[in-house]
Amino acid sequence: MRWLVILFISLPVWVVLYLALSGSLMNVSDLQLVDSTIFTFKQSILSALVSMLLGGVGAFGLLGFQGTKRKIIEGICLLPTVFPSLFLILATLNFDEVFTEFPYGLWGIVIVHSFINIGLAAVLMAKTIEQKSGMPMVWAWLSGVPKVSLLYHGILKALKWDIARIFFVIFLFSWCSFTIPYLVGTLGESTLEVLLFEQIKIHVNWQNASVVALFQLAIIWGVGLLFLKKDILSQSKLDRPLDFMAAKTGVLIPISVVGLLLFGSFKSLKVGAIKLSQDTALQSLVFESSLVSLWLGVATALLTAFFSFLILWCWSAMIRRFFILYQSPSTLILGFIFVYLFGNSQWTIFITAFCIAFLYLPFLYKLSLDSKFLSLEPYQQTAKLLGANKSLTFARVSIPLAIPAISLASGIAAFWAVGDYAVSALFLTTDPSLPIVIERLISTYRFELASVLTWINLLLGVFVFLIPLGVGYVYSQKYKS
Amino acid sequence: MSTVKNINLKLGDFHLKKDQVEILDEGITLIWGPSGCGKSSFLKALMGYYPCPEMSWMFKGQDLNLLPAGKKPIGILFQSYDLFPHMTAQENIEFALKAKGQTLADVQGYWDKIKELLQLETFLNTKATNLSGGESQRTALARALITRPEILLLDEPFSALDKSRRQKARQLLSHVVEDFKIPALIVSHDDDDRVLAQKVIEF
Repeated sequence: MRWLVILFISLPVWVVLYLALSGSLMNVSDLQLVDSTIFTFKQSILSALVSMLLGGVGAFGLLGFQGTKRKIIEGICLLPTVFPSLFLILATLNFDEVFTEFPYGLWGIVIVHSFINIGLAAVLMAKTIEQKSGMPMVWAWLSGVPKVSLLYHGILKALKWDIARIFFVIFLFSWCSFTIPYLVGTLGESTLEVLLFEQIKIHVNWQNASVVALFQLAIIWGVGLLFLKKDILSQSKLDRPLDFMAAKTGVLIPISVVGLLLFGSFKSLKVGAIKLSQDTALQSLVFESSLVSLWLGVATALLTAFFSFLILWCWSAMIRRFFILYQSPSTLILGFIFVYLFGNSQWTIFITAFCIAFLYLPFLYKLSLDSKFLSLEPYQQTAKLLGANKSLTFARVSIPLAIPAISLASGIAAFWAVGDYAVSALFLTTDPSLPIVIERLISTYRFELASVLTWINLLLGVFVFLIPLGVGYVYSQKYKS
Repeated sequence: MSTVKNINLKLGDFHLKKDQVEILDEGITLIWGPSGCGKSSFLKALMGYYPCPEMSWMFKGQDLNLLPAGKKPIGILFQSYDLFPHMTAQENIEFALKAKGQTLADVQGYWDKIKELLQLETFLNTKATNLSGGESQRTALARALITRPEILLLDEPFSALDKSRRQKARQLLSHVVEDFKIPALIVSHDDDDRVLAQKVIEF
């Protein structure tokens, strides 16, 4: 059963390998693989560099805060990371005060990617500094070590691998990004993800698509291997801020980015709302596409919950090791496999949800499920010692304790599904989801209307996020009573 | 005898208030008390880790509380030793010296004495992450001593060691205090540590 789960989750990888290796790799026509790779590399490295530099300043700002204030600031910094890509693209495009003419192409992509990742880089760097070098730095500070030396030895030298790891997380995010390069890029400058999309959707060339997918997969996993380094945490808990190293004003950078994005998205909201109120055809399209997005979110939540329960049932050291090491292929690689396997299916919403759940499951496992499942072990052992069989332990111990983490993971997956454009663009073209409608409006430069729809999309995402959380809460309350 | 007066430390819901604490100028002074009584917080206030502006600490005619953190003539050892994980034992010790603009060569005789007394030779080139508990403790103690501080402040220095090694570590600390003639203020909740001290202050 455990092996079946592992095979099932890694199925897309096997399909890519099969497709790419069963055809002749040399039989590839008109494929701009080299140009696309160079462009993808350029935009990824620049996005990561800008994010790390500005995020680094933000990190030194965060070091000056602690407790609730810190949590609030971190929450604000991380907002762009969770917002749907279309929302962020549109908010950035709306800055005509800053960009009289938006720099579509390389720098446009770098700007949007950096806006998303500056806050994330700041939070990750601040946490890394505190958790890994915190107490040794406090010792050094109290012993009179100068700040320059602390910066060099305590951060740059001690944390060089950790900083590199954060850099590569952002690099990989930018490398795998599809919606942003697709909408903000220019003709002739394609990333590998966009190239893959074109091979699937426009040229319908499976051989080319499988070669791009295999190449992309090799790079993603190659870079991913860099993350596999043993974590060394500082031995003791830091109970005071590292304010002697802080430059509080640094937080203004990630906070300003969020402020600018919110300003950009609010800016044309009123005009857009008036236009939408006058366009009855668009109103009905919005209503129908909202329903599609709603079903997509609910279906993704259900599938994520189902897969999570399946993992919980089969959970073992081996399954854990697999999920910690396994990196999900990129959105478009998974999309390609699902189009190849289920392209003719009428169940487009379900297939899209299936693909999205597959895409996010390994990430959600690492984010919230792993620590929860691990913490269940002593309770499961106790139940076993008391004579309970596996089914009883699962139903009466594992599920009630794991429900909050599973409902949270399902809620996050549902939120992302509602905001998804990449997978939806492959399946939901005849019955479009809301992001597809938004993309069509952006492509025709109707930014005001698109702004209204991105807010509807965001609110719908929040609503769908709350559904599994509510179900989980009711279940756990019922169990308590 | 150095005197600490007007200790008034607020940390969230916790409030530590004491009028006066007297610390010996030589030998070992032990601050003893159960967990949560504020003894570690008091030590950290002396270090400058927690600011305590109303407090004064008269030590050899100088109020050390007026000196900013990092400028006090103290050697510090935390409960978990907090060595830099990416450095070797020697690099950790050398780092403390470099911070004061010195090298090991500048203090060669003193360094040889520390090495000999703390028996550091066998693991000086070992990465901090690969040191045993006892080795980490001796490295951290050497790091605290190398800058020739006027007093050592040690926060639960033996608690990370297993019971069999604690007695040896206590003897070693006694030798260090005696040989280097540096007074030490130790915080501990362990009854067995009382034998070490010339003076015990109960919190």
